[in-house]
Amino acid sequence: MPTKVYKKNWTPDPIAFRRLLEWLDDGVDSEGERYLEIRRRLVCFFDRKGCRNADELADETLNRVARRLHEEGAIDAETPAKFCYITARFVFLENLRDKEKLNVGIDEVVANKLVADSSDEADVNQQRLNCLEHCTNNLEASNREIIFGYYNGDERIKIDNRRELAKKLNLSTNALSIRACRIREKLQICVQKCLEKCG
Amino acid sequence: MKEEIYSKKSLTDYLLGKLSETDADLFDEMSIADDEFVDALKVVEDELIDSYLRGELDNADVRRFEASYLATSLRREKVEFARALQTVIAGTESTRVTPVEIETQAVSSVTLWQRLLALGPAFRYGFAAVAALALVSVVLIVFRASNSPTEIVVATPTPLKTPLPEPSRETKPSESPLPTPTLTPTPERKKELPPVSKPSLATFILAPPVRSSSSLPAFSVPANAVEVMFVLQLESDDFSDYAVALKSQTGSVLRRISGIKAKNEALSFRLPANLIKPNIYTLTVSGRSASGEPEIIGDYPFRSVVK
Repeated sequence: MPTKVYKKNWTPDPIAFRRLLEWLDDGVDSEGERYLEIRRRLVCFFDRKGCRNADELADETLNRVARRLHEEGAIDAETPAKFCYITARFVFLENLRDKEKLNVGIDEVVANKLVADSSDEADVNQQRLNCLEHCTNNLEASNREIIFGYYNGDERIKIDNRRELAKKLNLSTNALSIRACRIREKLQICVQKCLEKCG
Repeated sequence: MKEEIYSKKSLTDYLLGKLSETDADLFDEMSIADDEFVDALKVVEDELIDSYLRGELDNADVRRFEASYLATSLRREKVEFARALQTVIAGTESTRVTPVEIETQAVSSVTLWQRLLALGPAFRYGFAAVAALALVSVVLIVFRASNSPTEIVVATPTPLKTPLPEPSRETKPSESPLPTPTLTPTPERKKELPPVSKPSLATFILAPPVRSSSSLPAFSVPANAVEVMFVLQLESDDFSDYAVALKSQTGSVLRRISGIKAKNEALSFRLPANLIKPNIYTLTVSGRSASGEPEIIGDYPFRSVVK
């Protein structure tokens, strides 16, 4: 558990960052994938907690973990992911306290941003559709088959389609759900990057 | 496996902020530290978003979803992505033609022209006259459809993934006596993807409602129909997207579908056939303005009758 006074603005140097990647990999070289996955989970965690700066808080959490590793050489924890969660709890609580101090200002900024955003919404929606078509076209044929088969139809038809697709791919419906969900996640990341390029 | 700790329902409750603080804390931890839980949570989250967009959540969950889930821009972006995905999938299903099919169509059209040209001048002039007559019929039908009260085109049951009907595609001049409801078979198309179950789809087209009209358009849902495709013709397409609520005679909302894009000044969407009993219903259409505020466009009442 992190106990030392946290130094704001500390960022890991390349050596500290590599040590963090290796520690998160827990003996299996994922080529940085595990880091990205844990970061995504942290972003979702902060987002579910209603934090508007979820990305920033996820980075802050991983910085603290990296710093702890850098300073102490090792971390005694059940799993790296669990330690990240414990650290994230602290970051969240600190952020909550800071937010209370700044609440009025933040709300005003967000309200102004919402007004500005609405006028561009139609354009963004069209861009999103274009990006999605581009990203689905770049999917492997087998993944495209899954995404179009899995998410097509309503209610009973959807269930029937999924059952048939799982049978065809020789997967359990549960495994198919997870696979479809991962492809969807990749698609969303692709669309997000595409929108950033357009924007 | 920790399936005894979480279920689809508890995961949905977690996402909607309905869990107790203790349970939510446990799920928070698992959402970072437990790989299986993370997978299950993502699947349920996608399902929840899709259900919201398809109007499948009950009113209380819709309110919670909008108040709690949509509170951050990251999750709003997930919903917008899901909306786009549904649009793309629906569009692809409506227009997908396999390469084999394209090739077959091209070959068959060439063959037809070659055969016609091979015939004598009398046949060619005769064919031109028939084509001209067909064109005049189409113009007449479009004219009458735009001036008459609500028209309904009832398609015979067709395989589920036939092309999404557009009004012009559904109405065949040689087979569509107006103004009585017509029966128009929709051509089958081969599917490239995905594997297809073989339920039936009935299609109904409703023209913009006319105030002076005293009679309700009526149609029957074929017994073997699994889904009903509605095509609502609009007077104009002024909104980025639309929502439709199916209401019972008493005004209660039975199903709500949002995020529908207009195509050729018409809205196409599907409803489960078992939702439509012999009764009177209203489809209330609203459009989303640039400011994001919904604006009621009009009601499309209809009567479903026993076949």
